[in-house]
Amino acid sequence: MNILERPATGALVPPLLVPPLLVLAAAAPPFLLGPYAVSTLTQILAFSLMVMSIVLLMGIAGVPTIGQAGFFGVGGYVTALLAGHLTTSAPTLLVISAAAGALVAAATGWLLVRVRGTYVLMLTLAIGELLALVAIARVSLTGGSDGLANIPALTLLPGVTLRHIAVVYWYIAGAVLLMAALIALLIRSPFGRALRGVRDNEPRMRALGYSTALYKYAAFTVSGAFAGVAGSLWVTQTLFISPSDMSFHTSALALLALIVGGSQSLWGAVAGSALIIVAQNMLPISMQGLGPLVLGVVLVVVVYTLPDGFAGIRNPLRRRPPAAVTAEPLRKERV
Amino acid sequence: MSVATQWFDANLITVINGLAYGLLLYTLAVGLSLVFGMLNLLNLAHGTLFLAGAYVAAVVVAPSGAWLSWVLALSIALAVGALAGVGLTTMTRLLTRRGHMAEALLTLGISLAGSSLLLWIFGADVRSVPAPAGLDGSVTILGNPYPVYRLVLIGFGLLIALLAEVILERTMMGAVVRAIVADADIVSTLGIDTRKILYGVLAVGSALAVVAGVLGGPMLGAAPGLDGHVLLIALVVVVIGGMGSARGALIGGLLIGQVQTLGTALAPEVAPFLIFGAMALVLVVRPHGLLGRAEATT
Repeated sequence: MNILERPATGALVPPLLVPPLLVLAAAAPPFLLGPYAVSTLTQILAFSLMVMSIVLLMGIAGVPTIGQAGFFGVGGYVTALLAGHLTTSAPTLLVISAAAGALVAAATGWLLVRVRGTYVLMLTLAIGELLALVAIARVSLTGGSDGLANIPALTLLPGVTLRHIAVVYWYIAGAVLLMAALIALLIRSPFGRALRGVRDNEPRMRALGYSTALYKYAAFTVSGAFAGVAGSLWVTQTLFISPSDMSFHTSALALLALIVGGSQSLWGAVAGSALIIVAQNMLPISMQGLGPLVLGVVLVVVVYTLPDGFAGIRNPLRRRPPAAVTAEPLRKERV
Repeated sequence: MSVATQWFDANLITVINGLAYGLLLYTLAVGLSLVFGMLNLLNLAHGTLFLAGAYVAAVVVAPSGAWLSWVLALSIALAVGALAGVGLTTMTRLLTRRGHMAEALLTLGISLAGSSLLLWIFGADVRSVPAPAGLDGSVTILGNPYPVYRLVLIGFGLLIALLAEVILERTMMGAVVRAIVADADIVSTLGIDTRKILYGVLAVGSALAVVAGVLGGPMLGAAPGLDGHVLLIALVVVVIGGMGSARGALIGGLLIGQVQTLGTALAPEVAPFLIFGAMALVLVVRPHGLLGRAEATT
């Protein structure tokens, strides 16, 4: 490929070199940073995958959601429960969690595509909260509101236990990188383009012969699978899960990360998650109980001051798709 | 005696409980539904208002449940709710051009901050509220003692339903509210100041939510987490009834009241699934809720 022929996009490195550089950069932290920083980084990456699943659903497909933590929790609980009873193989549990997330999303998502506008928001919230309610009510299985604590350490391969902070980091970073690449491919595929079409102008897509409900359903299911994987990775690190991990509060954190990072950028998802997790960990002990208060106030401030998140103010000269794409079509429906 | 009457005898108390709970849900959900229909605004702070009302009752109502303390609690609830409603309208008006998600995130932030403040002020303990003096006894229904207060709750809920019906269906102002639910833009082209109505409905709706919190105090108490729980159920009530419809909220409230109480009494294992099942069932048959308008759906 002749680099000179490429349009001047301002990229610093040829695109072919990006993946190896990315892998190298992702593998480096355990050599350079202390254990606390590495485990924080692991947390950030696992969380950012859930935010990426919302990017796919909300930023690309235009389906608003405030219940994504429900599927995150499904993946987490499946991993936690099966680790004790079936297998401790982390990759196997990851695949099962993805399947479980997709299954629960598929079982509930058909309701979503039947309604539109603010109804969708309400239904996602109801679905997420009901999943959390199930986790609280099924005490014998899930430990109720105390959660599940005695999760055995998972294994990467037979004989390789995910116990050392660096090994856990590499496994999770690798998995998140792989999933992010999958999501990026999905976004660029014809399927992703069709989703953007549905987001920007659903009636026209329908007129063109696309079954828009089916596309939204598929987006919801796939996004549920990715959220399930995120939950599995989260539990792989923390070895603990409770209903609060799948509640309102966690969804709000993810949404805050999303709007801070800009709703259509996978990089923004990581940056937003980093900001949220670091800020949360840095909150002084005396204020731990007031976490939701700080979160709420920040959410209100961000909604007013950063319409496109930090991704929106980073480069005002770059041409972006219209900022209000997720909101505008919904508004028009009223007319 | 037929099987049906036998069943009814055995479960009558549960059914009456469901009626009281359902009408409480209606009081909570009617404002949410109207605001939803008029502004397309998903007010996630609604549950927080309910919890605030429950705490008002827990603090203000004297341990003896004296009448005066109840009147005081209800007055405070009305004032707090109306003020909060006006504040909410002002805050969301600034975001109208930014769409539903921005508005929902705003109310999500407010509800998180509000709940956290309530937790900080009142602590994590479960607080109970005594029934008003004179109404804290019980009457005998079919040989079973039944708390009088719940019957009063039923009466109160029916009164609010009647008031809403008369105001919305029989007055000019109610006609304007219904017109705004149908098409706000057309109404404003007729020279009607829709803003005043919006402020009014959000103020009344929020006041009703706080009042529902006070009234529900003797039944549900006041504790952290109650806000999210009642918000979820109120949302289900609105989805079932159809947004923007007060009658829909009444039907949805009564239905979910029965599903919740009968479900918990007869099949506690599957009770959480039952409300979801009821909602799914309604949405399959009528995607825009029982009394909702088709415009909101595909």
